[in-house]
Parts: sequence; C-alpha cells; structure tokens
Amino acid sequence: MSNYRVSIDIGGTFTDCTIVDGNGAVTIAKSPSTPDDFSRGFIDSLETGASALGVELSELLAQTARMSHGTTVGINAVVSHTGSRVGLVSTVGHGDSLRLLNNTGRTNGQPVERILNYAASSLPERFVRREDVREVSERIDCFGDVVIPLNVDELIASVDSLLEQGVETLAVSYLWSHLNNEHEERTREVLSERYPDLYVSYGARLAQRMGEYPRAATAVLNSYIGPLMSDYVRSLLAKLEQRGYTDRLLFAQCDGGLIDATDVIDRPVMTLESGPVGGVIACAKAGAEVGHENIIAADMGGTTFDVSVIAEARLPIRDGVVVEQHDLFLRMVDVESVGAGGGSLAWVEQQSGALRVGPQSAGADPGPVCYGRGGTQPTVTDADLVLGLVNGENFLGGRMKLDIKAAEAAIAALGEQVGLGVMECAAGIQEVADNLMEDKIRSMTIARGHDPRDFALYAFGGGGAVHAGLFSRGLGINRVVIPVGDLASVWSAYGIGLEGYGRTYEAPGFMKAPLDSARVASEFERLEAVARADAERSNVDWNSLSSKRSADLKYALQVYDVEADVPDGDLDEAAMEEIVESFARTYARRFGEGVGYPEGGIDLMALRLLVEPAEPLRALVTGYAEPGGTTDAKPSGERDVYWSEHRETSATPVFDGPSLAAGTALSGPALIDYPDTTAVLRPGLNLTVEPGGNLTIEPGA
Amino acid sequence: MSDTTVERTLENERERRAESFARGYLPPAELVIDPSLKLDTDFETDIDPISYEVLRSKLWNVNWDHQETIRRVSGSQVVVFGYDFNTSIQTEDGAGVCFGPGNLFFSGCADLVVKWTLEHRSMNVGIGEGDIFLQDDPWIGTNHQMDTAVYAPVFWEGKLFAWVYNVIHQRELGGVEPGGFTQQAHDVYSEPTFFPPIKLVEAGKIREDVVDAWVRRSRLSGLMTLELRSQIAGVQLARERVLDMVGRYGAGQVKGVMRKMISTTAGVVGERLKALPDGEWTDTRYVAGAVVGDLKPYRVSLTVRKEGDRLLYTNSGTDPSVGSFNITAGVLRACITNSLLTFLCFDQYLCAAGLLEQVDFEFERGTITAANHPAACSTSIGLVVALVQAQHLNMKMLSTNEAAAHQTFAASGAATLIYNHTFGVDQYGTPTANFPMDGVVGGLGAFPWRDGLEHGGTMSATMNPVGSVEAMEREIPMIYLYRREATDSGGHGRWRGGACLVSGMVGHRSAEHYISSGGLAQSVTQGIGVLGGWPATGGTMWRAEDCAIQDWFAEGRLPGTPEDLREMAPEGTPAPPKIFNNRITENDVFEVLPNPGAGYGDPVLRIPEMVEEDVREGKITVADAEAIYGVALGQDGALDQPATDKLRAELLAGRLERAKPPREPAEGSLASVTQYALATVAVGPGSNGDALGCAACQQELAPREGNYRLGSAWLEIPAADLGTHFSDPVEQIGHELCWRSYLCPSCGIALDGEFCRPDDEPVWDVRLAPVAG
Repeated sequence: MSNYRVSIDIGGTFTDCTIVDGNGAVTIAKSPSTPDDFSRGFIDSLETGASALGVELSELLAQTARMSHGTTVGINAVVSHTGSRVGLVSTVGHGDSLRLLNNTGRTNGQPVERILNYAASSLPERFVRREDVREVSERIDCFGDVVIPLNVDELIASVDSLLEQGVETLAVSYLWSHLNNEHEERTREVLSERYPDLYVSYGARLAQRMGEYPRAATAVLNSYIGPLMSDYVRSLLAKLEQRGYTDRLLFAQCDGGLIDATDVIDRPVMTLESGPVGGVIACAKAGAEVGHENIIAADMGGTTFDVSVIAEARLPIRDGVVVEQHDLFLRMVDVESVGAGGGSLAWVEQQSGALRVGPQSAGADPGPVCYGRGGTQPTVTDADLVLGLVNGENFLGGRMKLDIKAAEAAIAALGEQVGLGVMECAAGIQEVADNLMEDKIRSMTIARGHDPRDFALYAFGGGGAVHAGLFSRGLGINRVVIPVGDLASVWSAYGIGLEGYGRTYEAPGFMKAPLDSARVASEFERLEAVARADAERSNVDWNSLSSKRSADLKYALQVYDVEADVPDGDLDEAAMEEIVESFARTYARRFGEGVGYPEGGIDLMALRLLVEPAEPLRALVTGYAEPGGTTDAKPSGERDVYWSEHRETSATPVFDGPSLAAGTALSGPALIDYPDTTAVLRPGLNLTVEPGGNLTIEPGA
Repeated sequence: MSDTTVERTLENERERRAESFARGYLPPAELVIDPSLKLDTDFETDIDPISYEVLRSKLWNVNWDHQETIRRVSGSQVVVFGYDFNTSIQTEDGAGVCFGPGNLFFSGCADLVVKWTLEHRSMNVGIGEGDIFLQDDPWIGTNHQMDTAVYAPVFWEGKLFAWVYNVIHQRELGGVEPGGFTQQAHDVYSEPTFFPPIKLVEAGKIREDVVDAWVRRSRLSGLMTLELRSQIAGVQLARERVLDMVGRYGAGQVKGVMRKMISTTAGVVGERLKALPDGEWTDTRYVAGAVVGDLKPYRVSLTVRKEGDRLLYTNSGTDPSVGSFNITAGVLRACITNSLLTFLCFDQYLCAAGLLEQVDFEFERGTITAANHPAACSTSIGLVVALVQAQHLNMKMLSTNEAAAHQTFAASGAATLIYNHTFGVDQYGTPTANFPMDGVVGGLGAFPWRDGLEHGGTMSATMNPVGSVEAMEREIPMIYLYRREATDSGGHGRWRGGACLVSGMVGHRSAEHYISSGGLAQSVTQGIGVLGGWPATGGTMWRAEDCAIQDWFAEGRLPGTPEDLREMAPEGTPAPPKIFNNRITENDVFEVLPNPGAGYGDPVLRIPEMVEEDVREGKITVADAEAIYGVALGQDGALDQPATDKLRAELLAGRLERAKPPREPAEGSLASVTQYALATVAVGPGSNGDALGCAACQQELAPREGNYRLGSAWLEIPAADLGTHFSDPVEQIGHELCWRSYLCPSCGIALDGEFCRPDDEPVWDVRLAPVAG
C-alpha cells in the first residue's frame, strides 16, 4: 500500500492536485477548472495525477488513505447569484436587517477608490427578496431572558406562506439567539417535523457572536448555497465511489480545519473564503520544520496578491469576513489581498500620465495577451514574459505556448503613450505591481507593529517565485523562501492536504471582570460536550484530538476583542486572574505597551474551544533536492533577460530546478525553471537549495 | 485671496495673530514665516510615469497606515466605527497632498492649522526637528473643540520638508455637557476649553505639562491620554515612513511627486470647471434650532461665482451668529472643500491642495457660518448645515454639464441633524451615557441619473455605520421594538432619494433613563430637493410615556411597526426639539426616523414602471403614486398606462391652475438650446436675444442674465403635505414655512424649489455672466 494522501484545490483557472505517498514523495497535477460542473475538473486532476504516477485512477484511489478538498463551488454561486431562493424568518420588528446592512452596504469591503466615488458605488444585490422575509412574534433580551414567547402558530403560518410563494430554503435567525437559542431550537423542532426535507439554517447554530445582521446573513448564505453544495458533495462522492473510493472526503474550511462531507452539507458557508487558507497553513507547517516562527505568506495568483502574517508560529485569525458587501460571521485565517496578480491590467491614467497596474484583471478569460485568447491589454504576466523571466516555450511544463510577439506589441503600444520603450515599459509594469505588493506587506507588518526583518517571506502561487526578489526588496527582509521548488505553484492544494479535522466552538459569555469562575467552567463543559458529540458523529476518535481553550476580552471603553489563553486544568479564581493577565499581555503585544484602558473595566465577550488533531501532519516531503549540491552547478541553457537593475538585456543562465541538489549555491542573475513556475534570482542576490527542497534567497555579501 | 485686514509683515505677527483669533483664520496666498526656519522647497519636475505612480501610491499608503495606526492604538469607538478622524501628508508650506477616506471635511481644516502654525509659531516657540504640535482652536481650523489635531514637521537634512497630520474626535474634553456638544451654550465659554497650537513634543521629548493641561479638563482623563498617545504614534509612524521614502528616492523626487499631484488635481478641477458656463449660483435657506429655547428660523446663504477655471464662495446674506449652532470661517471653507472633493475630485485620491488652488473664499464674518470669537460652536450643527448647503449649491452649478453632474447627489443622511444622547442608570445598575447612532445615519440623496442609495450614508463621513441592535441593547437599557426601513421616506422625484431606517425603542430594566431629542428643528428640513425634486423629511422623533407597552408584552404582543406603536400608544406625540430628557424606562417608548435622501427632478417625469415597482416594494404609497407621480395602478397593482397618461396631463394642468402666475411673464420659446443655467433651465436664442427657457418645452422664462423664477409660475405646498413624515413648522416652531415650486408656465414641469416663508421674494438662484465681447 502506498498510503496516498490526495488533496485537490479548485481555483479560478486550474484545479490543482497533490499526491503524497507514504514515503513523502509528492506528485503534482493540474487540470483546467470546469465551472459548468466542477466535479469533472476534480476527477480530471485525479486522472492527471494518476497518470503522472504511472498508475490507473482506480489503483490510485484504492491506495488513497485520505482525501481532502478545497472548493470554490459555494463562492462561485454567491458571486454569480445562482443560489437557492431563500426565505428569512426573523424576530418581529427586525426583518429588515439585511436591507439595512447596518448602513454599511455601500462601502463594506469595497476598494477605497469606489468608496470615494459615490457615483461608481452601489448597494449589493440582496440574497433574500423583500417579499421572502417573515417576522414572527418572539423576543429575547440582552440577558438571554425571554420577553415575548415564540408564537408557533405565527411561525407555521409564515413558513407555509413562504413555501407557497416559491421559497426553496429557509434561514431562521432571531435576536439574541446566540445567548439563548430556545426559540430557534423550538423552531427547529416544529419545522423538522412539519417539513422534514426542507433545508433550514439557524443563526445560532452557525455563529455564536453578537450582531443580528451578520448572524442572519451567515444563515442566509448557508441556505443560499446549501442545496447546490449538497448536490455537489453527493455527486463527487458518487463519482469517487464509482471509481472505487469509499473512504471519507474531507473539506477545507476557512478557519484552516477540515470537516467531513456530511458536515459540509450542514455548514457549506464555512467553505466560503477557504481558498487562500491552504497556502498559509502550508507555510506555517513548512516553517515549523525549519524553525521559522515568523513568516510572511505571500501568494501571487492570477488576479490578486494574498498576504498573511504568521507571528510566533500562531495562525492569524479573524472573526468576520465581507462577502459581496455583506458581513458574515465566519472565523477564518486572516488573509488580505491587493489587486496585483499575474492577470492585473496595466494602463495609463490620462490625467497625470502615470503608468498604473490593476485593480482590474484580465481574469481567466480572456487572460493575458500572451495566452492568445483575445486579450489585448497587457498584464503583469505579459511583462514577465517580455522581460524574459518566464519561459514561454515551456509554460505549465510545455502544455501551453505563450505568444511573446503579441505581448510585446501590446506593451510597446502602452509604452508609446508614456514615452517608454518596450523593455522599459515592461519593467515599469513590474515595478508598479511589485510596489503594490510591497506596500501591502508593509501595511500588514510595520503598520501592525511587526518588523519585517524578523520574518522569512514565503513566496508561492504561480507568480510568487518570479516576483519575490522585487517585492521583498524595500522591506529589509533578509530571507525569502520559495517553498519546495515546484510545489510552490500548488502550495494551497498541498496545504489543504496537511490540515486536520478541526472545529471551533464558541459561547457568548458576556460578563465583566472579575470573572465568575463557576460560569466559565460550566460553559466550557457544555462546549466540550458538543465537541465530543460532533467528533463521534464524524467518526473521529476523541482521544486523537486535543482541545485548546481561549477567551475573547476587551477593555470596556475600547473596541478591540483580543483572544487570551485559558489555562489548562481547573478553572478556579486563580485561573480567572490568569485569563485577564493573559489578555492584558496579548493586548499590549498587539496594540502597543500601555495603550489599554483598564480603568474603564474589562469585559469578557466570548469563550472558545478549538479542537484539532493531537498529532497534526507535518510538512515533510522527499524526492526534492538530493544531497550533493555544489557552488558550480551547470546551467541547462540561457535566456535573454532585461534586468531593470542594469537597464539592459543580458544573456542569463537558466538552471533546471528539479535537478538541483541540496547545497547548490547560485548568485544572481539567474533563472531556475520548474515545470510550473520560475524562480527569478535577481542581480545581487544569492540562492541556496536547502535539504528538503526549499530555495532560500538572501542578499549577497 | 488673503482676507485679513492688517498688513502682512513679520513684525506685526502679534497683531495678525490677534485678528485670526477674533475672526477666524483663512490662509493668505503668501505665508509670513520667520526666516530662521529653513524650508526645503526644491523639487524635481522631471518625474517619469513609473516613479510618479510608485511614489504617489507610497504616499497614499503611508497616509493609510497612519490612519490604521490610530485606529489600532486608540481603540476608540468614534475612530474605529465612527470614522470621525482623518490623516494627511502636507508639503513644507502646508498644502494637503493626500487625506484618508474618514471624515472628509477635515481636509479643509488641516492646511489651515499647519499654515497658521508656520505663520505664528515659527518665530516664537519655534518649529524644530522632532517636534509635535497639538491644537483644537475653532478659529484656527477645527469644527469643534473635540476635534483634536496632532501634527509634526518632517525635517530632512536640517530643512522643513513636509508635515504629517492627524485629527480625531476626542470623546470627552470637559465643559458643562458631557461629551462637549453644548446645546445650551450661548458663547464659547461654556463649551470645552480649547487650545491654539501648542508644542506637545519638543525635539522628541513629550511634554508632560502639556499632556496634563490637555487631559485634566476631561471627565475621562486617562482615556484622553490614550487617545493623544494614539495620535502621537500615528504621526511618528508617518514621519518615519516619509523619511524612509526620501532616503530611498531622494527629496527632490518625493517633493516633485507631491507637487505634481497638486498640479494634476488643479488641472483636472480646472478642466472640469471650464466645461461649465460662467455665472453665479446662490442657495438661501432657513435653519431652526439655534439653541435651547430659541426655535426661530434663521437665514443661511451661500453663493458661488464660477469664472473660467475658478470658483469664489461668499456667504453674504447669512444671519449674524446666534445660539450654539455656529461655525468659523475655516470650517465653512472645509465644508465647501468636502463637497467639491466628492463632486470634482472623486478620482484624485483626495488631493485637497490641488482643488484649493482653484477656489477662493470671501466670507462675511460675524455670521452663523463665519462666526467671530466668542460665538458658541461646539454642536456640529452649523457644520452639517453648511455642508448640505454647499452640496446642494454645487450640485445645481454642476447640473449645467452632464458629465460633471453624473458625480453629484442630493442632500443625504444627517442633513437636518438629530442627536439622541442617552443617559441614566443602565441595566447593570451603573451610571451610563451613550449615543445610539440611529439618528445620524440615513439614505443617500438622488443622483441626476439614478435613485439615491437606501441607507447609503452621508457625504462627509464616507462610511456611516449604525451599530447592530444587539450591540446597542447590550450597552443601553432599551429594547428596540423595531429597526426597519421607513416606508415612503426618500424624497420624491424623477429620481427618488434613498430611504432611511426608523427605530422604535422601549426602556428596559432601568428605573432612570433618558434620551434626548436634540439637534435642529426637524420640521425645517435641510434635505432640499433638487431641480424639481421634492425635499426629504428632516426626520421625526416621537414619544409616549406611561403607555400600555407592558400590557402588550404580557399578552405576547410586540409593536413591531410604527403603526403598531401608535396603536399601542395613541396618546403619543412628536418629541419637542432640543429636549435632553425624554424619559425612556419600561413604560415609555421613543421613535426616531432620521434623514433619508432628497429627490431630484419632477416626480411627474419618473418612469411609470418604476413607480409601479416602488409601490410594490413599499417605497411609496398608492395615494402618493397618484397625487405626486401621476401614476395610475390597477386593482392588482399593475400599471395602467392610458390612465397614467391622462392623470399626468391633468396633474400638470391642475398645478398651473393652482399656481400663482409669473411675475414677469416671458413670451415665445427658445429656437435652440446652446447651454444650461441649470439642468432644467436652458439657454438659447429667444424672441429678443439670448434667453433662459424651460429645458423640457423651451418656453421662454427670462432674459439670459435674468431670473427665470420671475418668469415661472409659483406653486406653494404646505410643508406637511410633502409626504408621510413631514411635520408642520407652525406647530413645531411657530413660524409658517412652505415648499415653493417654480413651474414652467407652459408645460407645468417643476424647474426648482425652495423651502421658504410664503412672503419671501424668490431667491435669484442662478445668474449667468454676460457673454464676453
């Protein structure tokens, strides 16, 4: 048995697949994504992977020990507004919360250019029609006490009328249900008896946080994509079963944990925004193997450049996300994006003559000019090709030929508008794009109190290895890592394969310090009971899991919650004091010494239990960079490259990446070609091939 | 453009300073700066397109990170959620190169503060490396005392290269009313004490004496210390980052980019202005709610003269300062800047200095909008009035060019200011004071090409969030019976204003709790409709004490709509304006409906299918669809087009029958249209030379340089008939005001309107300049 760990990540353009065998050897496969039926691209990428391994798909599947999957099916339906017709049942007086959107609909999650340009901004299309909202008599107050009991007759009449008018799924979200879910649970009893086949989402089951609008929006989006995700999951499972795979299929969530296929049918909303997370997880785990605790994870994809900052080996987490101008309560790995990817368009601002890049993107269709699919406006990828950094003859391992002539013509035309030659203009596009990336990293480090000199920058995604030498330059970063050579181009898929069963449980525990130890203890007991039941339902052995307790606190007169550790062991008075002290320390570390205001009181906002594998998978692979590297490795050829540092084109040695041994040391300028990406070693930089396959780039002496 | 009355020399600095303290500072074209302060004025003019983009983007990002640092360190609700702050980078002589998207009116104050500091602190106290200044003097450049500026010179190789600046609304700086919005003030002495520019950090060392002086007056001195500290952290970060840039790219390049940003913006603004006809536009309106005990309407006026590529603003015709709702000259300038940035510089990354190069100001001092010391000015009311007036006036001017008009929109949320402060004992038994945001959020006014945005916010605060109901209920001892979209709330028009919310509350678990019905008198709306559009309501507040709410609860019923609330408490009444202590305990209810957006264009011109949809969506009533829009719907709610055609013809004819005839009727019609004085008032060859005429039917109205309103029919509509949520000014403030619509005497289409006294002469709202030669 080869004991394969298979991981499939569906992206906008390609479906990536990584297969790790029992010895840690990795096989990479890519297939075009198939938006009309994503499961086809899923199977295609498996087929491609099997043939790369030289086995039949059935054989691969028979020897697969674990399969994990990151999907964009949900987010695609949300963005294209092709989900179900959802009815919303809400508390009397509050059925308009998704119309009002807390008065933030115009600006929420929008780029600042659009926020300032009122005429170019608009309200989001809503996911619930106005006539599909019903208000039911019931009310709970801020202590969780019932003010008005649930009127079941009204509830039934409301739901009947919604179904009569064509509603397909339902979201139920009442005020304060996260504090007291009695009315939502009673609603659940009534509805599951009366309409056993109806897909219904409940606010408090999905989000345990204060805020009636994001909670309702989370429930609505869950029901919006629920049926199509169920269809997708069932169809995938059926296709896999036909091909002989009957074991479990695990789905990536946006918080970095995997859940079972049956869970994903209940909580599909957790797969939204799971896309960029895999790469961050892979960075954290790969970093742990080589002692990097502080990592800037930089993912340069087709449309965006995604950045996440791992400090002291902790994954950065945030509690909300904006999807289509709606606030959702999803706990997710904190990743921020700037519109500077390979497909970002270059253009000239007529008023000032400035050369600009993005935020508009050529997307997958038509894509960059050099893809020859009808694109006419040059992109960052076109500039990379024209500069000689990318090998147009061997793009995607030769599966795609790039049209360098067309790219040159498009860039020459743009350059004419601003008086630049074709190479100068291509270098300019690169410089402007790299500057956007550099400043995004600066905002996420320096402006948040992190010194980039203390960090290793992990560059991955299709363009990460091409651009890292430039966008890291102005930040004082001393070490750039291209993780595991070619694996960098499918890093997110690889990361999803490293994730484990993971669930987070929250209890809203509003109380003022000093904390009530008995209440805190009983809340954690309750959370653990729920977690155990879920693990049992998912056939996960509780003893294989570890659980970690934490609490969110804030200074009463200031706004930021901070997650503080809750000590293991008994939750007595001393433990309560420790929680508050841990909060104060964390607050100071994150926001600065002495900027908290304890005189105004300290509030506990929520309690949290994180369940994850006791023995998580490690990022260990074999087959990369065998020992025996030297300082005089022979290039496999050369390419003319325009180096902006020298303002001239020069013949540059090209090395065959997969054949470089550990210990190989190179000095820039040089190119290291892999089937799916190129590592660009700029003049003045040195590169070392590390055991295990990482490429490390450092400034020359 | 200097409007100081004394000669401008180094020697008479003291005299000039005294004048700025008394009348309010507006910067002169040439600053008088002590020669001991060396300015780094060199810059490169040869900036390539790549460096320009890279450095401009870096300046924007430095400023953004400056803003994020303040948000992170302060942890203040006002800053983090309310966005009541801003940051900027300015040249050595105080020109504001970039601002953040927080509260935009600050962009018209920041340069005042720095320029004043250069003119009056360069000689005494001095401006040196490592210094940081602090100020909140309304006569130098701040809306009200709480808006605290912290700013630092950036020196490069011994010369003053630039400034970095921030301003945040500090939450509590003393004075007779907690929070500082001093409704009862008759002069500045009862408001929070203010400070002209003082040195907070000297050569890198924080001055504890100054910090103490600043925070000792506050009820929350510890918290204000932290807010100051966040501001210091912000300018320090921005200063270091600007210096990094200068080190990496060179001082001449960085300054060259700053200067190019200014000149590019000035050029863009100039080009956009050149596309408009030369002339003068005026808005005059009434405002009521000067101070507790005085609800009389006062007159506020603003005029813009556009000539070539420049604008000149004056406020003559504005009443003398009164009560607590005044602003200083600098703040009026800032309000105008805010509106122009939004309308003319939406694509120029908030480069206020470039805009200001094209604009002049000549303000009549001692007035409500350019008050002299010691008029009271802490309430922000004057600010919202001046801002919405500038917005309205500029929208009318820009309506003369379709491309420029595209970016404009009518009066929006917070136009007729409402305050609902709460105080008392909270549900946890501790003293509480809070500010639910329901009264200050609203809908966006109509655009000339689409409806305003529901719950779309305001012009000054680009982000205008209201906290969730659960967040409010956790902090304030109330239950929100409802918070929903107010039906029939946006101003009527060819394009409707955006709807706003309406919130009803009952007190909960507190025996002692109050809510204020503060701000302006709502019956005198500032949400004036544009070019035939109808006004938006100025909002409503309504209350009932000792009502039957607990009985309803006991029966399992909850009044979840405004109609239910009135059924539950038929004894309820409008809450009187400027009352601070409406009781709201378990038997008392309170409702606030803030400001929706105003309408644009005559409602009769609205596409009938849109009216059909409006009725279906509950945006307007069936009765209004007929009476205001002239749209007939069948029993099933479907549009009846033939009946609609007939109804509209009758409606227009009926208007003209009821209207007063033109004072100075004009004969004939325009042979063609050559330009516009307003989007509804065209210019073209008439029967006796060039004339103004109705843009819809070309009926002549007046000579080209005349007042079209004298050739229009006047239709006066009582304020209470303007829509569901309007109230009668006679009942609220004891003065009669009406909506006067100026109609084309031929086709009956509304050209424009004003909210005025029935006996007022028509405001001459547009006078085109004679054609040269």
